[in-house]
Amino acid sequence: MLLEVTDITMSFGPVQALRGVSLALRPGSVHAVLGENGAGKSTLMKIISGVFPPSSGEIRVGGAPVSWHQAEQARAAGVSTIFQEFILLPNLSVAENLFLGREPRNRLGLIDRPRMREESRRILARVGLDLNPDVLTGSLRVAEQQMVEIAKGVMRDARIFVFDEPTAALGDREAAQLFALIRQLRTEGKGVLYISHRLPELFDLCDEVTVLKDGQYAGHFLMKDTGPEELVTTMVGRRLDQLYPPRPAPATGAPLLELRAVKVEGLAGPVNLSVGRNEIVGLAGLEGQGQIEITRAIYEGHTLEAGEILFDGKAFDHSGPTGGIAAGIGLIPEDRKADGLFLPLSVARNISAGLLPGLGLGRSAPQPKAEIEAQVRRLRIRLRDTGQTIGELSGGNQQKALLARWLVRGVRLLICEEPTRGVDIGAKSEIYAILRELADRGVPVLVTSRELPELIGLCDRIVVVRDGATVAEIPGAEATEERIMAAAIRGGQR
Amino acid sequence: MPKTATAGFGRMLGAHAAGLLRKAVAIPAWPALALLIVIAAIEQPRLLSLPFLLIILRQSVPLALTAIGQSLPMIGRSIDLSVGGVIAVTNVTLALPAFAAGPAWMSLAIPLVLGATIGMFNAVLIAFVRASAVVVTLGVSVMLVGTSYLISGGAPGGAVHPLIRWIATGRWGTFPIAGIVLLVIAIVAAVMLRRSVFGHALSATGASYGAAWLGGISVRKELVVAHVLCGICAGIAGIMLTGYIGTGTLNLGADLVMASVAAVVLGGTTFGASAGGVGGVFAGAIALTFLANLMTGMGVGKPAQLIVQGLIIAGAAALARLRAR
Repeated sequence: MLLEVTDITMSFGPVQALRGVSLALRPGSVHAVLGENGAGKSTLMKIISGVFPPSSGEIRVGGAPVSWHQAEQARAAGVSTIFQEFILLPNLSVAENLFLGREPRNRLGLIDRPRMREESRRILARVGLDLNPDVLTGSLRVAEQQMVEIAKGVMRDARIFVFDEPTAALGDREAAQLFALIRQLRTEGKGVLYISHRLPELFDLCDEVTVLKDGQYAGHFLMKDTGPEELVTTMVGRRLDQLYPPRPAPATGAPLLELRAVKVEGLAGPVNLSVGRNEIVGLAGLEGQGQIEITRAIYEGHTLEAGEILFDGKAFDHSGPTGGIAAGIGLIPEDRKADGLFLPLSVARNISAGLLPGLGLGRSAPQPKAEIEAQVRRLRIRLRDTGQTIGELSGGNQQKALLARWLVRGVRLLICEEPTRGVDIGAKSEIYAILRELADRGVPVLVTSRELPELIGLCDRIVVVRDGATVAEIPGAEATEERIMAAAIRGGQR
Repeated sequence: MPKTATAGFGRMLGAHAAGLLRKAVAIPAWPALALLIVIAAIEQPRLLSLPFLLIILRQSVPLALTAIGQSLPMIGRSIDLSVGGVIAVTNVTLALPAFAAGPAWMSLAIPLVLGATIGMFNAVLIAFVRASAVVVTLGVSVMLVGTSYLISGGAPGGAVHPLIRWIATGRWGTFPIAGIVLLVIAIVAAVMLRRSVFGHALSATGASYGAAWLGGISVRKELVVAHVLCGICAGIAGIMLTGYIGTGTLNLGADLVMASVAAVVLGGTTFGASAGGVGGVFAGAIALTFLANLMTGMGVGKPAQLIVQGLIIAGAAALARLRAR
């Protein structure tokens, strides 16, 4: 065994994050660690990478017990961790990052730059990265930074690689590149621990899986002997086909929102899109094909180069989010932490912030306590009380609080960019149910998502975007990943 | 049964203590003030007599006013280092013969207009041009100090309007007028921050500029108002300080710049979140003033006092950083 973790317990004050968790990593295998948010995956990974020691339990590397207090000790023992937040220094070159703290010296005792550059090139080539080692690390794409991080591990002869949701910020092509590299690590006899929410990629990539639930070991399976249903049931005690709410019959009637031959600045266009009064419409496509630009053009009101946007049958012309909000549109942004939440503020303030737009600064600020409480109950936001800081909540509960913000305001149309990014499966199904209920009540929803199964399960219609233009429209009931992908990548013909 | 009850009570007490500890870190001004009072009770009990406490209240007025003003931009993730400059210009202006002998409204209104104008100037550069608040207000501060030398001709002095002297040093019964002005402004500011759209929107802007903008909050307007009100508070602080010393002097208020930032941080205000509210800022200003008096009373010389004050300011900055994590 490359790595054996036995009976690990971890307490943070009164909170027990892990209870008696065990795991064994074979050389030449990719071992998934699966669990909902808060199940203890990240805590376990941090213990394995030496960020903090466990409260009790044993870690053995290559059969020898270890006791780490710092990440540096784990690194020296051959554990390389690729965290969600990178620890590469953005203002240094790739080569400088690779050799940080162990720069080769020349005879004068100065840093031997030519050698550093040459060796960097060699290492980068080994991980399949064709990159000038002199470029600033901060200028690289996220995927490339990940590769550099991996290269750093390879260079230090790491035997164990830990990946913490590496594909969360990657597009499909970049993910494929990463998977190829992970497979290569496997053939070289390394052990890989791999955390991810995305079930399909686990089946694609991993050999075995350990499932955690509520900080406890919940099961261990070989990938070839199990299926998504069994894993989800183990993880949440709920079946997969119950994840999405039933789709009602196709709606009729005039659309609430219509984009007619719209061309947004910087995108090729045209975009044709309509959202009916009881519909959930999805925008699908490869990474960065203009989905977000389209939702923002509706909400923020960018200058249109051509075409028109109609809201409730009327031309809809505004500049800035206040215009969209005044018309009755709410937006839940793709980057929840940076663009949606007021992390240091209370849940109540985060929700009532939805009532501020359009009010004069001297007015008394609305604080509808009863209504906020009602939304918290309705959306089943789990918290101590509404005075709790929102940064302390889990991703799913934060997302629900953003929903509550717009529900308290009473929007007429909701735009959800990546509605369940970083949200555990239990909260996902709750969010889907809420969106469906909204649509049924006449508040339609426009959704963008990187996860095709989510769009297929949730949406009434899926509109495929390629290169800033809408290229296909597929009814949700007929949609398959193959059909969407075919439309999303079809040709390069203009 | 009784055993579990005690255990439950013990746990409750523990949770309570943990909550108190968290509060103490969040708003260090209150425990700091409590500590100072304990030290005073042992070392300098006369500091705790009512007349002396009222003197401390009056002494703390300029700092408290500046700090209450300072807390507004700081809540909005900005800062105003030009408050000292506003106070310096106010001081030499009020000491001009035209003001000392002129109508009272001039001595009252001009500092407020000056503060508002400077606040507006800062805000335009910070909120619209998105220049660094530290650099902009520091530059403006240097400019204002230069202006104050120009106004005073390098040789300040002279007298100030009697009304200004009365506001700063007068008493209503035994209660200092300046203290009343401070309390009124503090209450207005507290209500404004807690209850008004401005207060809520300002916290949201400070918590996340991007999220506030995307959430339809008029981020720039809030920052402009915060800076203008901060400038006005500095103007009032300038009136109080000038009335208190009764003449023009060079670079009055320079030490209030960092002290006001320290009072705000001690009072539990960080970017976006204001754990201690205006009360915390007030307590921070009183604690700093009390500390200075205590040290003087205990025979600690000016050099050592400066060292301690500097330590507190640096410590407050470190604390703000720790809290932000």
